[in-house]
Amino acid sequence: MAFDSPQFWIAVLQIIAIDIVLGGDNAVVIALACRRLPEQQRKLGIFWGVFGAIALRVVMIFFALSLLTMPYLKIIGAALLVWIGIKLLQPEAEGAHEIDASTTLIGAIKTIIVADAVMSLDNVIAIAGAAKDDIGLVIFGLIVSVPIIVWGSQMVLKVMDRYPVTIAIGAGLLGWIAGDMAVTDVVTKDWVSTQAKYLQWVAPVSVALLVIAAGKMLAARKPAKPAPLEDLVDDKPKQ
Amino acid sequence: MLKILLPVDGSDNARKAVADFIPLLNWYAEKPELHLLNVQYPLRGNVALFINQADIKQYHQEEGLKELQGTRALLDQAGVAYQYHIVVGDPAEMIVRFASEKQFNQIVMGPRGAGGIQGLLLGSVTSKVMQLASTPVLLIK
Repeated sequence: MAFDSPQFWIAVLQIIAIDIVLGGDNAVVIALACRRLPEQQRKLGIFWGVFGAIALRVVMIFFALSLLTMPYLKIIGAALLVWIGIKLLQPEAEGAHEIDASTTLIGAIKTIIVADAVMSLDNVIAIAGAAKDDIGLVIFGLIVSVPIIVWGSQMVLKVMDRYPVTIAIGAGLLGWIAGDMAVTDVVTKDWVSTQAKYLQWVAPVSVALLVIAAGKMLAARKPAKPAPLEDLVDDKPKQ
Repeated sequence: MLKILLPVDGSDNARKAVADFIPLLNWYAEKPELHLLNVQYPLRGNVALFINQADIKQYHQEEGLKELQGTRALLDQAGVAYQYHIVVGDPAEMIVRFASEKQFNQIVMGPRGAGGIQGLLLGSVTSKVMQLASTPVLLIK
């Protein structure tokens, strides 16, 4: 892709948006996993956690790029992205799991590595899809995700909390990329470009709308049984 | 005794509303009971998959205390007694629920907090509270 083509800049914007929407919670997990460690170890834990998150993205994205050239795998990737997009729109489920709070550096690093692996995966599939096999764009996407993981997460999450429409936009974008991947898979590409060229834009648009609609519907259907109010401060009236 | 709920986020706007409310306390025949309420947004995404509930709670609590700090200092300085609370959830919804479940007589808040765009008539949280609350709302402009 050339620098002066609109597709290039659209891909750039898509990648930045993906990094923002999908990268924020990774940094929060790293910070929270390390919070019980003593000061010195906490810095170490955060450093290696962030380093690991970025390294895992680099390794996984090169795997992803070669995997996506195989038949059907882009379609599978597209399905995964649809699922990730719909999940993004669901209200967060808290309290279902009991996880050991690690008070050791090793324990914290273990938590971070598992979290990094899971959280990098969605980011990597989306970036690989948006970059459309352009290795320069892939590297660009990785570089942009670094400052977001390191510094931007708090701000990003605040914006997403206060303006929920940004989440819907992110979910729609994931759907868009999924639609695009589905029609550029090895097995669909030739047929689409000769028989049904219109699918090249119909598929992204309709999958984006589908993700937003399905996500919103599922979120609305969740039984709104309010959890009991829990006051995190045990504040007895001062005498 | 009248129970008054003062929702505060960390913003200057919220602090200013409380500051402006302190002199108005003389309006009440009997000194009302003041409760500060801070609402923390739940953590998004996959965080709850990897982090222990107790740690998440502690995190919310610390963040909430940070946001309450300015307003608490203000009230301490003015010598006004108060209690404070931190809950997690959608701000407007939690404010309304807290007020009704704990039987508050009044909610007192500013027109906008941290989320409101300057110049906008009402912030989104304030307007939602005014719509949903069955508790009387006093808006301090």
